[in-house]
Amino acid sequence: MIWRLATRNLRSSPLRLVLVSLAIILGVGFVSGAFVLGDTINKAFDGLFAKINQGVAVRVQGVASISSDSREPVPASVLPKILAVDGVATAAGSVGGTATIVGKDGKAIGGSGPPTLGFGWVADPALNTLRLVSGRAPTGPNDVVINVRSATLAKVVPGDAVRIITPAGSGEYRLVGLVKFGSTDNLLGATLTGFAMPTAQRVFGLVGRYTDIGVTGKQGVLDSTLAHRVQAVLPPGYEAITGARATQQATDQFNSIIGILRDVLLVFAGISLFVGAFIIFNSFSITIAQRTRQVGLLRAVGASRGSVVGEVVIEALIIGVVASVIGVAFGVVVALGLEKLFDAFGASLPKAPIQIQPRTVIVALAVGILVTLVAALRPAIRASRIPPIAALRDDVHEVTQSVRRLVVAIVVTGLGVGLVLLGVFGSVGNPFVWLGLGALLLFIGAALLTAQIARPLARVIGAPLVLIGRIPARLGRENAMRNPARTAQTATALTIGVALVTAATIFASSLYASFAGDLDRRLLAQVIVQTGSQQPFTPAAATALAAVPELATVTAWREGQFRDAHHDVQTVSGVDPATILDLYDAGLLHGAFTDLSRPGTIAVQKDYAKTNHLTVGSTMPAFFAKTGTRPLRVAAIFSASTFGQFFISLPEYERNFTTQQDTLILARGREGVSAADAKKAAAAVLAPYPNLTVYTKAAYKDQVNAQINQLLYLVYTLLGLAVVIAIFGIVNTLALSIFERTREIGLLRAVGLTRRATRAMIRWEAIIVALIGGVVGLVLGAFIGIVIVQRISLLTTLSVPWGSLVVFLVLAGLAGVVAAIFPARRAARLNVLDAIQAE
Amino acid sequence: MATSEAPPVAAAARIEDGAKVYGTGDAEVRALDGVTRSFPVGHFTAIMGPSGSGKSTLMHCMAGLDRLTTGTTWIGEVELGALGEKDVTAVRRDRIGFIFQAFNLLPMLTAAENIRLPLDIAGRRPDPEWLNQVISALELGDRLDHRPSQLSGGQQQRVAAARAFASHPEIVFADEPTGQLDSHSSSELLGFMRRAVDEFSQTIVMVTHDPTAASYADGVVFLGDGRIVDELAAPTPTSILDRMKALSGASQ
Ligand SMILES: Nc1ncnc2c1ncn2[C@@H]1O[C@H](COP(=O)(O)OP(=O)(O)OP(=O)(O)O)[C@@H](O)[C@H]1O
Ligand SMILES: [Mg+2]
Repeated sequence: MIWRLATRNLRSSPLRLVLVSLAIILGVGFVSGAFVLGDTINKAFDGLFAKINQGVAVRVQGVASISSDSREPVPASVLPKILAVDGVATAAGSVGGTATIVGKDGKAIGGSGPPTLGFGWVADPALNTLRLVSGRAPTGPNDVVINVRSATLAKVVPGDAVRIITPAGSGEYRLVGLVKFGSTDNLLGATLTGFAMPTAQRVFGLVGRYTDIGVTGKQGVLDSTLAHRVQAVLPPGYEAITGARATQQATDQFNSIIGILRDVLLVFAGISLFVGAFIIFNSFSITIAQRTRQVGLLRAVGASRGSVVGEVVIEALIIGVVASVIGVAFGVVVALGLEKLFDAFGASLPKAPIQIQPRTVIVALAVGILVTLVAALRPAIRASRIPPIAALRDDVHEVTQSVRRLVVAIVVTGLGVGLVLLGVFGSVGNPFVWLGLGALLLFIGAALLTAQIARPLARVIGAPLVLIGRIPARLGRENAMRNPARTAQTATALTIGVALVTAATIFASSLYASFAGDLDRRLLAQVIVQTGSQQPFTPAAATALAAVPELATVTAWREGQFRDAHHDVQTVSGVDPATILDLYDAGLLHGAFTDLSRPGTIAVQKDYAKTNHLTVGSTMPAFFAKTGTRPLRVAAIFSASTFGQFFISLPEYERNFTTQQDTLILARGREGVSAADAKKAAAAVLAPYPNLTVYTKAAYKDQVNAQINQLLYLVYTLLGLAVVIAIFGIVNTLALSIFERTREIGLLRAVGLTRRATRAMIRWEAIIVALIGGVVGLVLGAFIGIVIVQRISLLTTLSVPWGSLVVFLVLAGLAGVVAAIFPARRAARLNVLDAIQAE
Repeated sequence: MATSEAPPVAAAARIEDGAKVYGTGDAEVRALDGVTRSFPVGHFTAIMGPSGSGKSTLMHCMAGLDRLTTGTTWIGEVELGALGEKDVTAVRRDRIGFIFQAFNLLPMLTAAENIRLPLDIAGRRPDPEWLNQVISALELGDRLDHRPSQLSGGQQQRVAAARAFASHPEIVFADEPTGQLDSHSSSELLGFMRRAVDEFSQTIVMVTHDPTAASYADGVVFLGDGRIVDELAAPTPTSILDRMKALSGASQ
C-alpha cells in the first residue's frame, strides 16, 4: 500500500524526480568517476611497469633517505660485486635524467608539465626500459634515439640532426632510431631520449655511476632470495629490491599524481552531494507541505505514523537508487571523458580496459542512497507529525519562527565557525577535516539562520528591485518572503557555491597580492630565467649568461632537499653569496650573506630560526642524501619568505648534492642598460635553450599571476558545477511552488496580470532567492577566505577583490534569471480557468 | 481598442448565439448551447440553474476568462473574440471586476493590498474617495492591514468585493460569491452589491444557487442544459422558488 502511494507520488511529478535526481547523479558520478579513473590508470601503469620490469629480478638503487627522488646513484664499482653473487645471471646499470628535445623550429618539445626523460641505452633487452621501434640503438657519443611522438612533433626522422638539452648543456646529436617506453609511446605526454650509456653518464653527471642497476636471476632462484644475497654485497645507503617491488614503487609514484586528481574529484563529488542533499531536503519539505491534506486523510482513515514515514522513505529510496545507478554509469562517462581530456592535452595515459570494480559501485551507490535518505528523513518525520485533523483544515502552511529555532541556528553556525577556526588556527589532528566539518556545519547553520532572516533580507534586497520591477517584483518579493524556510533552503544550495568561489577568489587574490607585492619589493633582478614548468635545467645556461656584456650580475639558483633536526624535509637554495643580495632582497637581519662563502654555513629565515632557537653562530644539523648529517653554522638570518627559507653557497650545494641543475637564474643589466635590453641580450644568448623562458620582472609577475589565475579558473569550473546544481534546485522549488500556487496565479491572471508580468513575477522571486543565497554566500566565503589567508604566513597581504565579489552577486542574480526561465513559462501558460477551479 | 469616450451603449455586456462545447464525439458536452442575452448598464442580474447547467461557463466566457466555441461576446462595445490574449487580459484588468466563490485573495498580501491589486497591476492610481466609500460601505476600515488568513470567510468575501469594485469596473461578475458564507455575511455582501447598483449604477452579473441571494437582483436568468430556459424580473425569494420548482418539474 505505502509502496503504491510512494510510486504514485513520484510518478505524479516526473519533473521533480528529474530535478532532484540530477544533483545525486552528478555527485555519485564524480565519486564513481574518480574511482573508475583511478583504478583504470592504476591498472594501466601496473601493466606497463610490470612489462618493463618483466625480466628484472632485483633492482639495486640508493635508499630514499629524503624523498623518493633523492636516491643517490649507484657506483659502477658495485656492478662486478653483484655479478659475482650466486644466482645472478646478468646485471646492468641504467642511467636516467632530464633531456629536452628541440624541434626543427627551434622550440622545445613538451616540458610544460609532462616530464622530459632521458636514458642511457642498456644492451640487455630484459633490463632496458626503451624498446626500439625503428632504426638502430645509439652506440656512438653523438647517437640518440627518441620516442615516435616526439619525433613527429620535432619533425625529425632517423638520420637527421636533433638538438637535445641535457644537464650538461645544449648539443647536436644524430637521430639513429625511434623508441617506445615499454609498450607505450606516449607516457602521460613524456618525451623520451636515449643515449649511448657513456654519453648518458656524461650528460647526466653520472660518470662512473648508475641511477640504478637491474639484475636478472638464474633459473630457479627466487627474486626475494636473490635480493637478499645482493643486498649483502652492497655498501650502506643502497638497497636491493625485487622486480615486483620496483614495479610497485614506479606505479605508486604515478599513482600519487593520479591520486591528487582523484582527491580533487572526490572533493567536488562531496560538494555536489552536499548541495544535492539540500535540494532533496527542500523538495521533500515542499511536497510534504503540499500533501498535508493527503497525509491527514491517510492518518484519518487509520494509517499509522510509521507508515507515513515509510511512504516518504520509500520515495526517497527509489529516487536514491535510480539516481545512484544512473550516477555510477555517468561516472564511467566522466572517467572516459577525463581520459580523452588527457589525450587532448597530449598527456596520454597508457591504455587499459576501463576498471569498474565492485568497490566503486558499492561505495558510489551507498553514498548516493545514503545522502538521499538522510536528506529525506526530517521531512518524513515532519510528515508523520501531521495530525489527522489536517485533512479538514485549509491552513496555509507557514513555518513558525520560534526563539528555539533561532537559538539552534545560532548554535550550529557558531559551532561551524568554531570548527573552521580550530581547523585553521588550531593544531589538533588533520586541519582539513576540521575545516571541512566546520564548513559543513557553517552551511547548515547558515541555512537555518537564513530561514530566520530571509524575510527582512528579502525585504531589503527586494526594495531596489521593486522600484525597477514594480508590481511583478513586489509580488515576487512577497512570494520569496512568505515561506522563509523554503526560501532559505533553496538559497543555501547557491550559498555553498558562491561561498566556495568567494573563498577561492580571496585566497588567489591574496596569494597574488602577497607574491606580487613581495616580488616587487624583494626581487631586484631585471631578468629572470626559468623553464615553463619550473623543472631544473642545465647550469650551462647560467655560464652562457655570465659572458653577456650587457649583464652585470648573474646568479644561478639551485634547489635541493634535506632533513632538519626534526626529520622534516626542507628545501634549501644554493646561491652565490657575493651577489645574491643585489638580485634578491632577502631582508638581512643578522650576520652576513657573504659569510656563506665559508664551508659548512647556512642562512636561515627568521621564523624558522626563532622556533628552533637559532642565532648567528649557532649550528643546525642537516641530513643530505649524498653526505649524510652535517652540522651547518648559521651565518645569516633574514626575514623574507618569498623565495625560500634556507640558503647555502653554490660550492656548499655542490658538496652536498649529486645533481647540479639550476631552477632559476637572476640577472641585472650593467649600469645604463635598460631591463628590456638586458632581457633581449639574455634571450639571444639562450637561443640554444628553448626550454628556458627569459622574463623581465614585469613579465615574470604577469606569469605568476597567470599561473594563479589558471588554477583559479580550474577551481571556478569545478565549483561552477555546484552552482549549476543550485540552479536546478531553484528550478525545482519554483516549479513546486507554482504548482502549489496555481490558484493564486489564476486569480492574478483573472484580475489582469499579463503573461509577461506573470513571468516577471516568477523571475523576480527567483532573483531575490538567488541574491539571498549570493549575499549569504559572500559573507560565508569572505569569512572562510579571510581566515585561511590569515593562517598562511606566506600570504602577507589580505586582498579582498570587491569587483569580483560584485560580479559574483550579479552572477547569482543571473542564476536566478536562468532558473526562472522554465518555471516562469509554466506559470504564464497556466490556464486561467483551470487555475481558478483547481482544488 | 475603444475607450470610455465612445458613445455609451445600453448593454454593459452581451452574448450572442454563444456556444461552448467540451470534448468531442461521445464525450461531447455542450456546456452552452446558443445563449443570447444583453446585460444592461446599471442592472443586477442573477443567473440560476441546476448544477452543470452552464452558469459558470457562461460567466467565464462573458468575462474573458474563457472563449466561446462559437458565437460572440462583448464587454461594452469590445468584442472579446477578436482580441488576443494580451488585450483580453487588459480588458479584464481595466473593465471587469471579479468575485469568486472562494479563494479570491492572495494570502501574502494584506486586505488593503489585495483590494488595490488590479489597480496596481494596471499601474493606475486609485480614486481615494471611491476607495474609501467602498471600504467603509463594506465595513473593512479596521481590517485593512490583516492578511487573508486573519480574516473570517465573510470578511474575505467582502475584501474580494471591495477589490472587484475598487477600480470602477464597467461590470462585475460574481460566481456564487455567497456560496460559503453564513446568512448574515451573505446579506451584508449582497446588500453592498445592491447599493452599488442603486447608487452608482454598477452593472453586476451574479451566479447563485440561493433564491434569497438572487432576490437582491433586478432580474433572474434561468439556465438549463446550456440554454436560457426562463427569466424573471423583480424577483422575490418565493417567486424564484416557485419558478425553480416549476422548471425542475417541467424537465422531469
Ligand atoms: N473543462 C471542462 N471540460 C469538460 N467539461 C466541462 C468543463 N468545464 C465544464 N464542463 C461541463 O460543462 C457543463 C457546465 O459546467 P458549469 O461549470 O458551467 O456548470 P455550473 O452551472 O456552473 O454548475 P455548478 O452549479 O455545479 O457550478 C457541465 O456539464 C460540466 O461537466
Ligand atoms: Mg459553477
